[in-house]
Amino acid sequence: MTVMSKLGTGTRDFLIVRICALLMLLYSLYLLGYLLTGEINNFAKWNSFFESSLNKTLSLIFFAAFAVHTWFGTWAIASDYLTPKIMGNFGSFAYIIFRVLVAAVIALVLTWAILIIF
Amino acid sequence: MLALNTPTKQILRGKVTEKDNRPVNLNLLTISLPIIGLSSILHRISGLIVFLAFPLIVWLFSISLESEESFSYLQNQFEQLLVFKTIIFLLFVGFLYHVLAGVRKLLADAFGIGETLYSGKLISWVVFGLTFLISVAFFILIL
Repeated sequence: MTVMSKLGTGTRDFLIVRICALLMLLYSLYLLGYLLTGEINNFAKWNSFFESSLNKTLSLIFFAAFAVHTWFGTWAIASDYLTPKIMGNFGSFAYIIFRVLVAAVIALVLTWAILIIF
Repeated sequence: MLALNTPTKQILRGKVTEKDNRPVNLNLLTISLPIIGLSSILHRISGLIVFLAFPLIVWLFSISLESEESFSYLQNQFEQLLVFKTIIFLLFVGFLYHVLAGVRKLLADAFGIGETLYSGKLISWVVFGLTFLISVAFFILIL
């Protein structure tokens, strides 16, 4: 954290996006490994994966990482294209609308996922 | 002293006030994208699409864990509805491409892999190729 506070916000965002990406990648590989090794063709096996408290925690970390990664990722896109320079007077308005929409999607996904997992 | 009055020096000293009239082309549709650029813009597009489709994925996730009946209902719908299968396939391809192109970026950031023109082009083709091959394998799996 002391290292983080010495970095600029750009470097901090850069690192946060990549760390969250890595967390999601590891979880995806872990889940893929489970799907490929165990025959997941019935409810009991699929359900048992999300019953274990370790997997509950890991799933929660995945969705938290998803929220952070997509918040910064969509910011990168919006701040490049939804600008007055590209879109004229509509630019700033489009940017705000898009950011609100993204926040709503993230909030929906996060709350819903927590409700399902716990 | 004459050299100090060139436009560049004036810009550097912040003394140019007249408008810069050089042409600027920011319309991406008029630019022929090199492979590395195409790879990069597709990373953004695939990421945005998968992000916007995530509520749908969470919805399916919730149905799958609701009960034994809802799980088999989902299985049946997946087998019977071609639209359902197609959407899942397209989202898989989008997610796969985003992940592979993301790993490529991580490799560049962490180890400096793919930062020259040649290796950058090569690794873009590797990402496209792997996406294609794994997508074909997934297509056969769910067929």
